[in-house]
Amino acid sequence: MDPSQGPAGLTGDAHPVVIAGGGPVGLTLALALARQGIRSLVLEEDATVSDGSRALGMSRRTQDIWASAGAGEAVEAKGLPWFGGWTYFRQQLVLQHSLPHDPALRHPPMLNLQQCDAEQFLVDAAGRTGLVDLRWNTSLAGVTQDEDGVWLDVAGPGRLRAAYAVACDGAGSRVRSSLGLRMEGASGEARYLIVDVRIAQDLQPGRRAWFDSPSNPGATVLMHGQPDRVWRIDWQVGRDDDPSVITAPANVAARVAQHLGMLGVAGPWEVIWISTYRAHARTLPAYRIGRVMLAGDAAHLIPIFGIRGLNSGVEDAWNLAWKLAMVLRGEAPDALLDSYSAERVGAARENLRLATRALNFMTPPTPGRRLLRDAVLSLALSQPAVRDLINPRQATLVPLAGSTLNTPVGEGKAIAGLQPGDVVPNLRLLVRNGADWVEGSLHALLGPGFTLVWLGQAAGAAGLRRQLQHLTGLRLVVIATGSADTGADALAPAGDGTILPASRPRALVLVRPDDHIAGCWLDADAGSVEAALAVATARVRMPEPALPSELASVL
Amino acid sequence: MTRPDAVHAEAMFELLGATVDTVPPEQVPLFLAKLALMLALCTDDPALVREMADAAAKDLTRAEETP
Repeated sequence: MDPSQGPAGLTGDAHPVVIAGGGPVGLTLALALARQGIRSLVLEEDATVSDGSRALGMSRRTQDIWASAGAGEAVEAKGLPWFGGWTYFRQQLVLQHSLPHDPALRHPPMLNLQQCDAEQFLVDAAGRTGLVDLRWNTSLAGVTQDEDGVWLDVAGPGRLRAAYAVACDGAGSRVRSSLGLRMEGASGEARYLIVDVRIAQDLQPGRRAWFDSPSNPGATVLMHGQPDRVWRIDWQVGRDDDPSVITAPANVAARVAQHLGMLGVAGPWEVIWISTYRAHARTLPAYRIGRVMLAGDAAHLIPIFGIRGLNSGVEDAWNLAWKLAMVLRGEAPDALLDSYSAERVGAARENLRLATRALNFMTPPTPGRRLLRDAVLSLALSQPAVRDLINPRQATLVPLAGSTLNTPVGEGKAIAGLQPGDVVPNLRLLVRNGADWVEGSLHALLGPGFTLVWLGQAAGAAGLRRQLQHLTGLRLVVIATGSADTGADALAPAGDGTILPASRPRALVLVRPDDHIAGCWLDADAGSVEAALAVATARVRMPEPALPSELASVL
Repeated sequence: MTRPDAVHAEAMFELLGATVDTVPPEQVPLFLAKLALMLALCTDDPALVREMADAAAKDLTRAEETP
């Protein structure tokens, strides 16, 4: 892939999918489409990947997705995993928190990686697919559509035609503005100065937060470790502070010196990137407008506190790609694309709720909230009961519990710990490799299509496989517990309680191409699986729950 | 919800008054916020806290309206 290639040579021929924006969300979508065998054209107005740390915290879910998309090895090699952090009120430690983590899972709860590095790894992975045409220096002026496709006005070649277009072009999305779409929500008053600093001295990785820090009196400071001994420091600044003044190198250097001095960090340091940030909490009410879909910051703006911005955008892309692919191949009706909007708008609203709660704690919007926030911080020194109110709760998974693609669990069929709409956990497994068992993980066994995961002893799996063989594209993966099971594709460590039912002969989990559970049962038959697959691909809608007879007679 | 009898209420009134007297005046709002939070976390009944908070806020408004 020629990194300098611009729009030259682009033709007006119809593209299956054109992606506006070559950032982490657009590139993830391109990789996810390539995984489905779908070509995409990515238009990026910049000349290269971004600079600086920007969205630097990659959630476990993002790590899982990028691993499945083909970029996991580089991300894992470079990224800096972390498992918790420290919160200070003035200079006193008031909370030491740990991120939820289970060593049975393939990836750590959080990995810090500068966004520019992440983008480069995604670009490299896209190049390896041979299915992604990434054009730098290519500006999109506007989008129009008709019943059969989308017209994209591109500086240079003129108009391009696509079956579908996806806006991944960030907060200032031109696609969004050309469609006249407006986001709902609010923008916070708090402003932050964000700086990457290379420090010679080693510090323990993790999140550090200060309230009323001596290095920023009356305001907050955040500090995150990154690879290559680079630290990201975020200072809350006044809403009336002049950005050109606070970002002036001499003023930044003075802030860095004061903060590192407070930490007792000795030795040389170097400022390598400076920017500013204002928190927004906004979303579009729908992410599908005909043949145009919107994802990531083009669709929603989530405050950085809780690290849900980039991560939710990556989930958008992973959710959308398989649906676009199935509709393009004629394997699912157009209605499947409606579920993208419903599922991801729902997820954005939950992410906004959680991130806004964290934002309001970091930077209280009213005097009353500030008083209570300060009461919590002050009490936390002596009262453990209030410390949990300080926990930032970074990037928790948002299940798609209300999705129309889910098949509800029948009575007595529930598997403990798993629900339709959940992401199936990416457990570490021993995977069959010829006569050997090698280290692997559950998500690596999931194909680009639907996967039926059989949990339990393998006896009987062959019979079910025969019953389901007419369902093209559905693969059956058998995961057994304990010692080697001749019929199993993988083995889960015995005693692992997060997924495998211990006392039942088998359980079945129907997993979507984006790793979400469409249906799960104890002792289901082939008919149940086939019916759930029809629901999960929008070929059949789940019937609405029957009204109680006394209501039905009234309505 | 059980409400304290008059003797207990009087004792609480005296105790809180004496405690507030030990707090520097400029710190009283923060002290009261801490106290309210600690008391709120002593119950698993959010409706009770809401009722008390609403009643106190409404009472403030009423007091301000009284000539």
